[in-house]
Formats: sequence, structure tokens, C-alpha cells
Amino acid sequence: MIDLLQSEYKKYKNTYIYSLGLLGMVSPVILIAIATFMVRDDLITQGIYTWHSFYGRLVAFFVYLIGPLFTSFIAISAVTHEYQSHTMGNILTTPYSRLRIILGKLGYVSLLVIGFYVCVALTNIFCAIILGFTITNTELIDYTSYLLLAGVTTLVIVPLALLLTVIFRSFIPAMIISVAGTIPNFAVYHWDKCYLSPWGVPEVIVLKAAGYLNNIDTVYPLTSILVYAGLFISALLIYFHYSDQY
Amino acid sequence: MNYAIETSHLTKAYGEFKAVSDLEIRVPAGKVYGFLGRNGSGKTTTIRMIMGLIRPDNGTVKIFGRKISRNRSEYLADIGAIIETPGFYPNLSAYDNLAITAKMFKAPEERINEALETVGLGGDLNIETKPVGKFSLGMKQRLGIANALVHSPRILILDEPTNGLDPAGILEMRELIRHLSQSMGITIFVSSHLLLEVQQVADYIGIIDQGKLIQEGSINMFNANEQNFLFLETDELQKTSQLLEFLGFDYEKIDIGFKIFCNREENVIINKKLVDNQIKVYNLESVSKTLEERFLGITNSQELVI
Repeated sequence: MIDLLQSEYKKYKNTYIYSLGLLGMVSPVILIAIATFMVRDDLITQGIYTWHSFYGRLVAFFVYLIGPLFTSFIAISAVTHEYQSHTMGNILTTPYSRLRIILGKLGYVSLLVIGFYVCVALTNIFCAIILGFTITNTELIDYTSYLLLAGVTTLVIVPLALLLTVIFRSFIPAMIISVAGTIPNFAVYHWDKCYLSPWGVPEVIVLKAAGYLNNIDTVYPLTSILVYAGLFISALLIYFHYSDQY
Repeated sequence: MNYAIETSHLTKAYGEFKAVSDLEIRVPAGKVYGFLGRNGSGKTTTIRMIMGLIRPDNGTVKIFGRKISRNRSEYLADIGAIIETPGFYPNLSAYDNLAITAKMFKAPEERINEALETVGLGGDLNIETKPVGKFSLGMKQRLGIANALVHSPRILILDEPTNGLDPAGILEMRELIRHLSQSMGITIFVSSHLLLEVQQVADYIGIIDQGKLIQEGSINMFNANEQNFLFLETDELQKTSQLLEFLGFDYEKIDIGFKIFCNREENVIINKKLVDNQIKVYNLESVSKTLEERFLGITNSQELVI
């Protein structure tokens, strides 16, 4: 598996996947920080506008919109890069089983996405220092772990985006599904309606389990995730049953 | 005889269209096997089934006597292949591309330079720096072979390796195939629709048409002197023409003589009759069929049977 991960790392050298992925993930934090500095500088000085307020805006914008979209983009690019380079045949004719190849790609994209979320969490702390917020240790740990948890739960998008791109050999269906799945994320603002969002549901479940969302009933989110998982596995099995590919 | 690749009743259909039908080929180990067929005859589909890229509807493939199956991809360690166009990551250098392949096959890194040497790219300064996306097609083809050789396979499968190459590139590719077979003992399975190309490198030939194997055997069998026509030059064209009509031969009059479409054995009869009729024979030349003419004859007669 390490060999597969190392190969995946090499493949994307000098591509837009690393640069655009990192820029896309980190730049919203910086833009929100700049906007905050321009509009709320006086309030920050007076201690009215706190890191908590800044972080609230960041979460709303990043976790439910930018994060899922860029996670999809990275997962889709990992497959389309192979199709565009005509290298899919090369990979499939190595002695690795299809399952290991898929798991290798899945593992690498997941590590990359989590790496980007770490960068976002660090940028968040960096912006807080630059903007002059009062930073407590509790906030530091809470906000960072919340962002990392959000990153981990966003990984639910990765297998779906990979599979759709493999099936259609194009980025378009996966991107449409990703955008369509991101729109209901705004429902997560109202936590009780979070089951409407395929990307928001795992996040709610994990955050509830981690004790961040105490007033949420988990029946609907759990039902939703089981339905999503059922649909995904059914699509996967149907595809591989009817596909003429090994 | 040891066979590197054997297929048995290999069949693949797309709806009503049978791309490959009941195909039985035997590729002797250590030889160059030319897999001939027109475009769309089923060559690439066969290769894709051998490589496990598509699932056959029926039949089996054996590699060195071991039957391949869906969940056993270890046999692929014995095979290096270029199917259609060689695939490379255009953003990476040639060396980096080969390093990825070496890693995937768990081949030692020294093999990268050895493979590059084999295809004549060893001393090239661009190998470690220039992105493959900027390479010429000829270089990409050679690099494709290096990529297929990096894990020291026992079988090399080349699907139309001369496609898009200029005459010099074709010549280089031909020499490379001969070198790989003779000096390294690799079994080479080369598919092509260019009969002349295959004729010049192959030890064995299999001809596929409409998904079916039409003929298979040693190149010597295909090179047998099957006469295409007898070229005849005489002093009296009118009299010769009358004689040929009297004897019932098909012929074609050309500027200085005749093309007579007859068997090799009939050359003697024609010569004797000409001499008996006091016609002076200046030239009597048996012209053999090229492999191409024979191939077209085989595939056309097959079409008539169907």
C-alpha cells in the first residue's frame, strides 16, 4: 500500500491539483480575514468581535461550501488525470488488484484532503494572531479539532466522486452531483434539517458524537446516511456486475 | 513446445456484434508472434482480454500455462504492454514516469536506466528533466517500450507499435523488436495491420479477421513460394495471346509481355507449348504472392464463405 501511496504522490507533481487544491482551501480563510480586518477592525480592538465570531463565519463558508467542493475537485482530478494521460491502462495492468488500486487512490486523496484541512486549521490560527484576537487554549483546541473533524467527515464525498468519474470517464457528472450535494449543505445551518445534505449528515453525526452538537436528534441523520450508503453500494454493485471490465 | 500465451474459445461480444469469436491462439515462448488483422478485426479486444482489462464472455487465457482469472493479477508481473497509445503523465519527466512504473511493479530503481539503455534513450539529457508531454511521438513510443520493460517482463505485448511513426521510426522499432527477442529472449506479441512490418520481424503469425482466427503458424509457412502470376516476354505477342486463349489460361497483356495467372506447375506446360509453337521466350519469371496478397486472399475468401 505504501508503494501505491508513493506513486500517487509522484503523479501529481507539477499539476494544478496540489496548487489549486491548496489555494482553493486556504484562500477563503485569508479572504474572510482580510474582509474582517477591513470592516470590523474597530470592533476587534474593542473586544466585541472575537475569534469565536470570526470562526463562526469561517465555518459557515468553508466547512459547508468550499471544503466539500474542493474535496470533490481533488477526488475527481485524481481520476481524470489518469484518463487525460492515458495511464489508466498502465495502472490496471500492474499486479495490484482493482480493490487495492482503488483503496490506494482513496487513501491518498483522503490524506491529501486532511492535509489541506490541517493547513486551513493552521491558517485559521495564523489569521487569529494577525487580527489580534484573544486566543484561549480551549478555543485553540476546539476550533482546530472541529475543523479536522469536519475534514474527516467530508471524506464521505471521495469514494462517490471517484466512482462517478470512473464510471462516466468524465468529471462532469461527479462535479454536478458534488455541487448538487453541496447546495443542501446550507440546511445544516438549521441543524435539525441536516439530513437533507449528503455531505452534512456524516459531519453532524460525528460532531454530535464528539459532543459539539448536544441538542440534535440523530435519528434523521442516521437514517439519511444509511439510505445514502445503501444507494452508493447498490450503484457500485450494479456497475461492476454489468460492466465488462474486470 | 512451451507457450507463453494460450487462449481457448476466447469470445467477446458487444450486443449483437462479436468482436472476438472462439479465438484459439498459441504464442510460443521466446518468439516474436505477429498478430495480423485489419482495423476492427478484434486485435485490441483480444489484447485487452489477455491483459485482464475486459472480461471475456467465454473462454480462457493461459500465461505460461497458468489460467488467468479475475482476482489473480499476479500474472501481470510477467507482462509488459503498450495498448494503443503509450500512456504517460505529461507533467513528469521520462525518468519519473518510469520510476512510478518501477514502484508499482516493485522493480529496483537501477532497472530504469537499463530499460532506457535498451531502447536507446540512455544518454539522453532530457530524460530526467524534460516533461514527457513535450516528447515527439517516436520518442514516446520508445519510452513506452522502456516503460513496459522496466520490470523485466517475460512477455512484451505491443499493440500497433508503429502507428504514427515515420519510416526511420518504423525501422528503429523493427530493430528494437528483433533485439529484444534475440538478445533478451523475451516473447513478443506484436499486433499490426501492416503485413510487411510483421513479415519482417515475426517468427510466428496469427491472422485474425472479423474476430476469428483464420490462420496461424510459422512465418516459413506463410513465406512459401505461392505463385501470384507468371511473367512472360516473347517475340510474338499476337501468337502468344492466341496460344494462351487456346490453352484456357487467365492472362493480362502488359506493355512488353503477359501476366499469366496460373499455378507454378503450369509454368512448365506453358513453356513447352511456346517452344513447340516456335515462339521465342525472352523472359519467363515466376512472381510470388506477397504476404499482403495472401492475407487479402485469405480474408476475402473467408468473407465469401460467410
